Amino acid sequence: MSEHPALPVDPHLAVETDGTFAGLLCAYAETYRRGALPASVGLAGERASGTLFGDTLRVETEATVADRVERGLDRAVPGLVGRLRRAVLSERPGIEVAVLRLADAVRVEGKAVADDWTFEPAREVGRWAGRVGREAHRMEAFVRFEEHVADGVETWTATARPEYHVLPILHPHFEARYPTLAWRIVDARRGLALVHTPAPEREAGAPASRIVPAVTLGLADEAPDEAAYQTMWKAYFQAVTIPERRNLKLHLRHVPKRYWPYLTEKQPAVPLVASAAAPVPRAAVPASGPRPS
Amino acid sequence: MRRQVIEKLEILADAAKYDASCASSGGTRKNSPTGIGNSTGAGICHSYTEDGRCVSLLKVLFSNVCIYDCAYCVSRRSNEEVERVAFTVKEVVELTMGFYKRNYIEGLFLSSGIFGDADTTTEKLVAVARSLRHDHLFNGYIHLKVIPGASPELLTEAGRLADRLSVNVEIPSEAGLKQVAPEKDYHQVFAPMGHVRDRIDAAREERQKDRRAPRFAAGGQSTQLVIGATPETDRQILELTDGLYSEQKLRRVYFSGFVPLGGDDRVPDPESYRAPLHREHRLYQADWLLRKYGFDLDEVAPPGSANLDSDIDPKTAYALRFPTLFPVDVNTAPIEWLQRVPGLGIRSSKRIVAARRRGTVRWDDLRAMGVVMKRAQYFLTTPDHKPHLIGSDPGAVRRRIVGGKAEAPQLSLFAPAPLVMPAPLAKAAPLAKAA
Repeated sequence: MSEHPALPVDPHLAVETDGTFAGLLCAYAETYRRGALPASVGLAGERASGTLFGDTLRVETEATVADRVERGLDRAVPGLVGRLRRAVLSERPGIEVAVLRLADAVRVEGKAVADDWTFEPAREVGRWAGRVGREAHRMEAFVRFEEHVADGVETWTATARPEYHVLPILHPHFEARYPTLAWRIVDARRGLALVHTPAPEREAGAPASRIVPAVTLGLADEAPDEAAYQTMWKAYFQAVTIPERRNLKLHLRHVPKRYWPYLTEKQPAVPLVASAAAPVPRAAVPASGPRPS
Repeated sequence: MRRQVIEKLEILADAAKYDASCASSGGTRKNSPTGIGNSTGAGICHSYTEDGRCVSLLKVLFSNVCIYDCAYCVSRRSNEEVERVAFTVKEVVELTMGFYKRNYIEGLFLSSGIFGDADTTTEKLVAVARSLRHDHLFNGYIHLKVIPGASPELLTEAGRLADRLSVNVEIPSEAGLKQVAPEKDYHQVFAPMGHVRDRIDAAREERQKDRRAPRFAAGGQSTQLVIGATPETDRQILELTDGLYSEQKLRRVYFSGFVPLGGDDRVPDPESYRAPLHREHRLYQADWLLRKYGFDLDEVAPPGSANLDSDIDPKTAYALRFPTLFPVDVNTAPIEWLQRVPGLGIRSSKRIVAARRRGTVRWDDLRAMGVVMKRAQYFLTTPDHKPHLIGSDPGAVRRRIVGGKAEAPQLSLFAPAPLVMPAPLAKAAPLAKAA
């Protein structure tokens, strides 16, 4: 803990970063050096809102600086860095400022403030990190891989439309689970894809998975068994319902409608011979679920 | 060939659906670099049925051919309405792998009708698990049903391969069991359950000495009780549950509200299924208090009581039974006591404790923390909120919480509001511990 008091927020100061989490950590280091936190954080090149008459501070991202801040935060409150990172992935306007204020409060007061929901930045970060974590967990549960084959090479592709930008935190789960499969998870809302390359096909030192623009992914033919497995899964899903106990309200609470367009079990039944016929188009994707205000 | 598998899948999943357990939690299993699957301890529900239950595992019977004739079971020998089929080992293995790779499931829950002797049946279940683990390097979750009477060798192998084993008690009293399943008795159930418990204990001890010692059902053991097929009360059911946790060291006891299957007059008629469903919900709430909140059986279901209060949750019922213990001061009460306040959960109790380290918690702070005050308001105090009603008129608190809900006819069975008990000495224990 430091004797230095918490930094004030300068209502006229706007910060621009490269939009990465490391960039935000560097923004903290830089604003700490200057003695005031910014009132807004924006992406370099886009004018930060609400500071028409103020100064804009452009912060360069430096890995060594980001690492130092990260280590400091991790020492103060284990697990906090992950929480801050998830909060930022909510893409909620203003969340970066809450992150900077919480990081600064932790520097001054230590661990206790991080879990105190009566302190607004802790509450905002906690709440949004919770929502993003829940959405990531739902992706781990609800993405459905479909097998495709091109030139004898199989790929497993899932498409989803997550409310928040969760792709950057999904890879540990799926890498641990499917290390030998070439899988990709497409975020249709953001036009991005998390692409995994199994170890034998990877260049030495290359990461196991990367996020790339979804348009760069090639299309392959559906594997011969794919339709049959989808049909079997739908049949299974129907068979395990106990009709006497049907409770759609409860069902909807667990599986909100916005996930349905991408859930195999929610697609219309396909005749068994479908593998030879034309693939059935996906249901139209609704604009989005209700966005929490 | 596929069409045939689908038909079997429909029949054998339909027959397995009355088993409430679908958990993939409890044990962690790491994947190998060339394997497929893992289990992370928390479990994942990959979908939910239209009746709102978690779908985590491919839950099927290996076969629905059964030599027993249990009135509560759809696969009973005398039921002529179901077609009798059986999977092959290869079919179950391929279904599991195909579903798992598509991220439909966390693993397999394999049970079976008893189609020959116990070993013949068990050998098939073990063969499926063996093939998944060894031929396909599958490290996802496997839950196997223990068939009473199986040989120790097969049970050992089952425990090595599976994450969880279970034997279903099904009927919550031996007299009830005799009534609906005359060929069965409690010894058949509790002998294998005790055996599995001892093996789990032994394996755990071995692994403390040597980390490389083989594991045995690391996700523990569970069972299921059918609610409403036979006349046991909630108190009897919870007594049995409590004993299963303390003596058999079960990880989970599941409750399954009886769904009448028709055509068997040893069990209640099809009109009566709604009551068991509601009881199932209250029993799960009570079970939660026993397992997670440190409540004793007698606090949740007093000795001599029959069923749980159907209009209010068991924690509120407890608070109304012991009104002198409330209200609780959120700024001083130990966390164990905060968790006993109706409406406060484990998470909100932790938030209160975190907030009061830095200052006094007031009414608006509770709201900011996301505490739901609907019930909690009567049972806690802050410097700016001092409820009196619980001390002067607990019956009025009850009426307010139940609100406009029409009083169910069975309400008269339970002593309603005026049953007020003095704080027993045992209740002071959490306070003393924390002090």
